[in-house]
Amino acid sequence: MSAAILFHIGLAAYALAAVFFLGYLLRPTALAGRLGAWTMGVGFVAHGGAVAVRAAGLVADPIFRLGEGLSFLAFLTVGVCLAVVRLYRMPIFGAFVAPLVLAVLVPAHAVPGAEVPVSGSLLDAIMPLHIGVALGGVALFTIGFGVALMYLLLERELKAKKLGTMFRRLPSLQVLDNLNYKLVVLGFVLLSVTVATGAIFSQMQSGTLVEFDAKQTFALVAWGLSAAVVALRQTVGWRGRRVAVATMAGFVLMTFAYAGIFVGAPL
Amino acid sequence: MSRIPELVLVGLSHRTAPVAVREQVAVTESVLPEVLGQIARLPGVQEAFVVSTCNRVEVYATAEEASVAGRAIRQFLSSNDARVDGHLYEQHGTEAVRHLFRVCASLDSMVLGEPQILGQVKEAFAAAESAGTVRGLLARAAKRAFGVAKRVRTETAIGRAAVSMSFAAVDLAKKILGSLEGSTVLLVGAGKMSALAARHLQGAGCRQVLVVNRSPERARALAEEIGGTALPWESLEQALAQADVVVCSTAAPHAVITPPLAQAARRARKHRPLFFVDLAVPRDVDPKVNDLDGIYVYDVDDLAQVVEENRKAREDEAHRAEGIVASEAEAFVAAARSEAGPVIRDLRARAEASARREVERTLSRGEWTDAQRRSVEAMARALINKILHEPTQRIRAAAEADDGRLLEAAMELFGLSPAVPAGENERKGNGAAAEVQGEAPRNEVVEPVRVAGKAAAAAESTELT
Repeated sequence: MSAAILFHIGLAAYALAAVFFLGYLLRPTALAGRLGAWTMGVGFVAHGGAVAVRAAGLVADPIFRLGEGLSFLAFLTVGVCLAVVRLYRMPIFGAFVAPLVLAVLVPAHAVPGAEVPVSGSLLDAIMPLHIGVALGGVALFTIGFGVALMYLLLERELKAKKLGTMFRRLPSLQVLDNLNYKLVVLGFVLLSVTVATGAIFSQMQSGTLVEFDAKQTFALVAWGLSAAVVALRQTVGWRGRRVAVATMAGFVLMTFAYAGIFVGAPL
Repeated sequence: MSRIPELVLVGLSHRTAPVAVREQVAVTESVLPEVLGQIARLPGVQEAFVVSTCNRVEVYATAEEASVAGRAIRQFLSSNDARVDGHLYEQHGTEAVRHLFRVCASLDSMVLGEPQILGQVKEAFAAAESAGTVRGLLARAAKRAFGVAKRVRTETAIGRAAVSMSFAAVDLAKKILGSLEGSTVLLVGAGKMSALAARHLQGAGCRQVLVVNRSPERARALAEEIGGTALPWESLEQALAQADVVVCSTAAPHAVITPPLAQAARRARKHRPLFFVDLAVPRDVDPKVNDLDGIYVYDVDDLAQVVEENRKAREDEAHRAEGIVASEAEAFVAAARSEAGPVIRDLRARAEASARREVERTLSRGEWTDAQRRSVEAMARALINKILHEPTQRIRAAAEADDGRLLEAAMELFGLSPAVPAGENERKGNGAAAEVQGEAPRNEVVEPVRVAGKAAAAAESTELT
């Protein structure tokens, strides 16, 4: 089966999952939650097939496209989301991530976007690692964005003493905060690997460790931010609202860093 | 001999009477048996039970003449103060049944859907049972009401969101802190309200309870009562660093928990979230403390507002519950009215039993061929059917028209017992029918007549075919 067909099956399943999960947000029934997780799982498998087919083709066609990168990113995000839904028994989480994944995939698919050639024989070995880890980091921050948003919405209701949908549907602040922190720690690890491998490439290509182009700058700021979050949590005990805001900022920075890859690249 | 009884309700509640009036007619547990006896002796009253809570005093009774009994109960309740009468409501028949069902399902409670009322009515009913003032219809109505209440609770979300301050506080604590298992509660001030809140939190999994109070004796007493640890007033700051939930109820005229104190506590506890439940008026916790990140402060008004919003959510569910209650009440009254069924079955069983005795007596004397035997049996059976045909139809019509007088007359005339639970009658009726059935020739059986109640129809057809 071609990558395109698999991709379309995946996209359709994600759309269906988004409908079920949003239905769950409005009226939480076990059935809606299960259907959402199940259709998302089907989409994940089909999407994974598409990603695998394209990865195999990367040897013959060594070009990294914006749309394809986003597709892989969405794939990783869905993977993390499914893990969270399952491990934390939180179908509500799908309601925050499924629409986000669609918002990334539909434009990525409609516009193939800019292309960056993957070249340099010396770099061939580490390049897939660099890209994979980098996208994994973005995926974690994407999920983190969803969790942080949930935290802030619930926190706002609790502080304002206007208990509404979020109070009834979302898990406790404590659960969201812990999950958020775990995602940041993991994101920090992946980001560290990304920055390190990126520095090696930079050294090999241009002779300087850091060039401070858009991609590197945003990635470094995001890395510094997540390092600060982890350090402050461990020492002073920062948590909650500040971590949530930092996670959301991290997501934005990572998005810019990702977009930075294609800045000035031919469309 | 009595006619088919009817349910009567006379009472007042938070909807019709202020507490000053309610307390005048409230019946305390100690005098309840005596009061039950007095009410049961009132003119026209057959059975009675009294529900007396802080929000309502209601007398449920059955009576031959609902209006007579109703008037007597009204007079009884307002005997001490004539002004009480203006606050009383009185309902008969289906309306009274529906009211009883609504009360048990907590649809008439001040806090919609609160679970205590059902227990209170059950206690009231048990007291009446042991006083011997409930037997027939009223007992069945009460038991059905308990069933309806259970159905409403499982089929609607009426009891789900917390609508008492203590439960609302527990819900909030869980939303902020996650699980309360193993968490620590600090009571600042040793008031009654904070003890109650502490119990709820303990029920939700809180392990350790610390008590800080200006008077160390009271702190110790309360700590002992709820299995906690008393700490001196000076250690408030350290205690705040340990606690996850703080319940304040001091009589201090100004804030005890100030923003600097809360900030210091937050630093000491490494920003772990902290939840203040401020039950004191004037407030113990400075409202500005709520602005601190990771600290949540709910005072009595905030909790009242949460309760109010949950109450609104319950009101939506109440619409569905009302539907359940209305159909159940109608079904109950319809079943009670189909007591014509038991009357007819009794009548028939009795007639058939005498016929059988007479046939046996006749057949035991002299020689009879099988054909002759069958003829005699058939004749006896046909006689009964012919004689009872008209009365049976009249009784049914009377029941359908809800005409108690004719049923009463029939019971009087034939010496039948009133208002026996349907199940017993059915068994009796079927048994008698089965005995006769073997002997009765098929061609002599008259067509079963149309029957009011379904149960009666079923019983009737097994009797005759």
